[in-house]
Amino acid sequence: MSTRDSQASNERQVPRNPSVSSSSSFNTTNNNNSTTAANNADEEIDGKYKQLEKLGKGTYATVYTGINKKTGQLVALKEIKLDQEEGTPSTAIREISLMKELKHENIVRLYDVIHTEEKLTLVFEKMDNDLRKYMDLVYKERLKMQQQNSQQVTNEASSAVPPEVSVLRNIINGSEGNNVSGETPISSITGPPTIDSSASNERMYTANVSKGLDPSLVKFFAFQLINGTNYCHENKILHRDLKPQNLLINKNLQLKLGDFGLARAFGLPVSSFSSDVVTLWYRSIDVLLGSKSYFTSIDTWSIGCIIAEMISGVPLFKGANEDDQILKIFQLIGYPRERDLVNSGWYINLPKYNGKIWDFANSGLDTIHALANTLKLNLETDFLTLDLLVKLLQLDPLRRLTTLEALEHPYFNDLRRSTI
Amino acid sequence: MSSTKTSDKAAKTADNILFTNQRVTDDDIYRNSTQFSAWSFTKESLNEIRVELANKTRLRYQQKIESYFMEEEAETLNDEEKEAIKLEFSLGISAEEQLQIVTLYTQKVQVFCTKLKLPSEVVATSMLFFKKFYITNSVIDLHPKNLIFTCIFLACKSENHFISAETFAAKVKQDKQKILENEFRLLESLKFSLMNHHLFKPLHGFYLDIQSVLQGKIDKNYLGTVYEKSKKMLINSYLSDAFYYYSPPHITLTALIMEDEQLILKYLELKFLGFDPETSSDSLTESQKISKNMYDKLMKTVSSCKTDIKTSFLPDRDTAWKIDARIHYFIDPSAFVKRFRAQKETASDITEEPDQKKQKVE
Amino acid sequence: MSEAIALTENIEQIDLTEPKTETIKLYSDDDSDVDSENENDDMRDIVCPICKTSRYLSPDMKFLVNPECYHKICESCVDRIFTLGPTKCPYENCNKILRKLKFKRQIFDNIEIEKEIDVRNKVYKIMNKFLEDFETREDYDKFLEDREDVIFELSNLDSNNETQLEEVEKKLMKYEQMNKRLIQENNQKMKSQEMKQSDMESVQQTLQKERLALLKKMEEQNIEDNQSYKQKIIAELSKGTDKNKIIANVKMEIKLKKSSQRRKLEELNKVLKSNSYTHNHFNKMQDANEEFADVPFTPFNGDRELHKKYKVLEDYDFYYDPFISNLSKVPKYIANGFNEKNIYDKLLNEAFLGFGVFVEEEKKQAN
Repeated sequence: MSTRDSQASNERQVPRNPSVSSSSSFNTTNNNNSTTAANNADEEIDGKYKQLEKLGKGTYATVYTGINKKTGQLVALKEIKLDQEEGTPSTAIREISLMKELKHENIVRLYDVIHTEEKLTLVFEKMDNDLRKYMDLVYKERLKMQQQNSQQVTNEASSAVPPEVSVLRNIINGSEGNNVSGETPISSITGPPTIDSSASNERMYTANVSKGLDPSLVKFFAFQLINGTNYCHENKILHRDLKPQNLLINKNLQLKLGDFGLARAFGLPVSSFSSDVVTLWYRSIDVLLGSKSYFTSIDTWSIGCIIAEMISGVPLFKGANEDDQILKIFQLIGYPRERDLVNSGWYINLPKYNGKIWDFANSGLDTIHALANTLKLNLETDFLTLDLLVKLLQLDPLRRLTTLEALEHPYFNDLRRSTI
Repeated sequence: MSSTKTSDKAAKTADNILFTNQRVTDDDIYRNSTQFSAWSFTKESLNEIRVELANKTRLRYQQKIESYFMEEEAETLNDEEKEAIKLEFSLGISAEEQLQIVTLYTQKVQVFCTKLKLPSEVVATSMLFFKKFYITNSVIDLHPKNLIFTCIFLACKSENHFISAETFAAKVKQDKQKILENEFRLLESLKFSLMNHHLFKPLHGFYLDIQSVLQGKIDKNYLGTVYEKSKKMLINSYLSDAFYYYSPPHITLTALIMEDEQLILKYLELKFLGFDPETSSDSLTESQKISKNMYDKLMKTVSSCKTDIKTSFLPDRDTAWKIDARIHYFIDPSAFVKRFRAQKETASDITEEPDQKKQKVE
Repeated sequence: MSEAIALTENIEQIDLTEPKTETIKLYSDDDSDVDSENENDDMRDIVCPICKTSRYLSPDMKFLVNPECYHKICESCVDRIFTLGPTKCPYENCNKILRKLKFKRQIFDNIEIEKEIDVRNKVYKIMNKFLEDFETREDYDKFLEDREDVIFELSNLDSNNETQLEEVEKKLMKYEQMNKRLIQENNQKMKSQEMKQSDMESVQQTLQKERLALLKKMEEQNIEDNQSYKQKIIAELSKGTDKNKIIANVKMEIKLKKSSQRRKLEELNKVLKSNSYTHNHFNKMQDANEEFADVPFTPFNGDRELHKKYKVLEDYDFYYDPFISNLSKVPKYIANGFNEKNIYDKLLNEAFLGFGVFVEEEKKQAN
């Protein structure tokens, strides 16, 4: 573990292809931070934990930072309102019962469950960031460095350190809030005041800065993501909501799966699964086409999307609605082919499949090229990355790699050598 | 890295990978489950927990009855009545009695589930929840009849068999609030570990494996009936304590053996031995000896599991009735006084009980 | 650590290249280790076309070629030109982008042969099916023919037939993509076969040595014995026993001993040569390989048990399970990847999940 840690964090950052994705809009919905500190801070829970700042609010729960009063350990407190009508919500029941079974280094630990008056509090391991936020921070850090360099400010400390690491340093120093909450992060840096960061300048910097993570870090995260998911699958549990916001990262660059609110145990196919699982952008094509029962393959699709997103910094399929999502997937991966029909015919059985209106021009033979173009990868040197992605993003769920197969993919060979 | 036992073990194993043959097996996955780590016991340790609970409860209630009831009602009671009260409550409800009454009500859980046409997994989970709750809770503190529906409702939720509280309450003709009232207490007593490795999937798995090991030597329709009968037996086995003492495959195999010993032994022999188990150990090779040892161990476990499945804690009607009455007295000691006085009046027939109590037990 | 740096270095190199290299290379040249003795002495008068250094003046000079274009460049030029990253071949009119890593020493004088060998190696690594991978002999022959065609085309088409070349490359890539798994397996197979063969040879050698040593020892023993017989005869004679009788006795003794020795030797030979010995030996070797070399990468860092307690029948139609087979006919299950075999595997897995856990025993130990 430690060898891998140091490998990833000692990585020297190298600018990647000078290019920028066409969409410059950036997902900032998750920038909940200290500025929204809760009114009811300082609340105590069962005398054991003290509530600190509010981290975010979901549909059925609110998350706070907390501190264990005895040990001083920081924790995440997930507060669930009890429903007078239904008792403990079944999402909470599900999350608790599954998290109790899953003890793994790549899955967030559930320490405790506390019941007070009208709410249920789940005490989780505290992580420092989620993947989405972390990527945003790295990007901002990179912008900052870029600007400093171009202004030829010789600030050795920040220019010598890759953004991935400097973000972590900020987390440790507790100055994370400054970076996030600053409206214009560029102006907040300590540079000579004589230089004005005009809008055009800014755009220029932005154009040259990659939004993705360093390739070796992508690999390291991808490995941990698949590893954690594989453990779930081994325990016959589907996560069903894998997305960057649910992947948590700590300052040791450990990545852990969180939020098992949608997860469930699987066995034989049960058709009562709802089709609305998995956030749209990470929803697998078979689910989008109306499949109602599924297996581990829905998680592996999401993994493929997330790895691609780590590389480029932007979601791979950013559909506006379900139909748009389907279209975006087909445009990149290709439309189902005759061959698929012969082999399994999976798609014609799906309720939303409509072969008539779809254009079959892009037969999907060149998925690898399309992916390489989209992610600005090199066909030759990044061949393994592309190969893994193509195999995770198979339209036919039966052809998608299982998590175990993905772990055995040669893409991870160098990580493997360092562990054995 | 992580403080869990398994990951430490895994890390250790990874270090030694080149020097040892130690590997993480499916058995380790099972060892990591809460079913094994939190809800598996030796007979002694489980008995200890139950006896301790019974003792603690007895002391608690003795004190309560002496200090409150005896003092508050001191004027209305004569000495004879006070003696009788002391005698009645000094015994408490013993661990065995609690087990008997809980088993009786677990059976009621099963009956209700069947009436509601719930899937086997939900039935089994309800029964387990119910039994587990009374490992750490006394029947005096919460009468079993008040927990039946809470258990079934929670089991539905945790097994993803969705049914709204409203519908459920209407179906079982109970007050919704009452069903939800004890839900958290139940969750807490279950240590929030709600997942169970049930016996039905292993049974299905063995059904398949027997087919492949005994290829061509078995009538598939006959195997189907063995499967069906074993499944019934397995549901009933949840009434016993077997679930705490054995892993799911062992219980499942035991049920199969109880159904058709000859067939299953043949399967196990072919699968794990490949030679006659009666062969004297002198003529076996080393690896055969190892297999034989494992096989013998399995057989020993199975036969002890058989005894446990067969051991019924179900009380006969009379006993059940008496225990239930005594639980009732603990909850409402004045009922005891009333009965005592009534008994004195009739003086002749001691076993006479109020009608309403009779109905409760049945 | 070093791998990670190499990784980023690679990326640095890409960034310096022109837009996108069209040529796709799917193999790595790891067999370019050639002894310096192989350098041809006749080439002493050759001059590096780039820096014009003469071989004659600097005898240490070595020429390298890059399989992209096979243009000869001296080592110091390669160092000088390509260290900073991939760039164009310095030969006039050659627009190939070359990487330092891919340069290698030329083995054959004739560049055409060199090229063909390279191509052959590369193609063999990808199109590596065995006879057993085919249903009929004809299919296999067809495959061999196709392979030779690809090799021929790749090694004989030059930059004038750019499009044709690209087509062949594409064909090869498609083949690789479609057969990825099989290719890996077969490469593994090939490697282990090679290993097996060399191991077999070395074992046979040691056996042979042992046998020779044994023979020699027996011969020495013989000489020693003969001497002791002589002494024995003399001793007996001196006792005055009948001469003929003594000689007959000793002859008998020698005969018995010799035949017993011969028997011993034969037995030893048999043991040494016997298949069972070598067979067992290799079984062990294979087990060791299986245990240590090919550890699959799994959640517990590659230490997962390889042998399950069950095996799903390949022909899973064999299982009589009306419930599952009915499910597998339901379109909505087919649609999202319902697979009977996976289900059987899951169920069998559950049957043996915790099979080796003897609860009471383990809980007792824990207390």
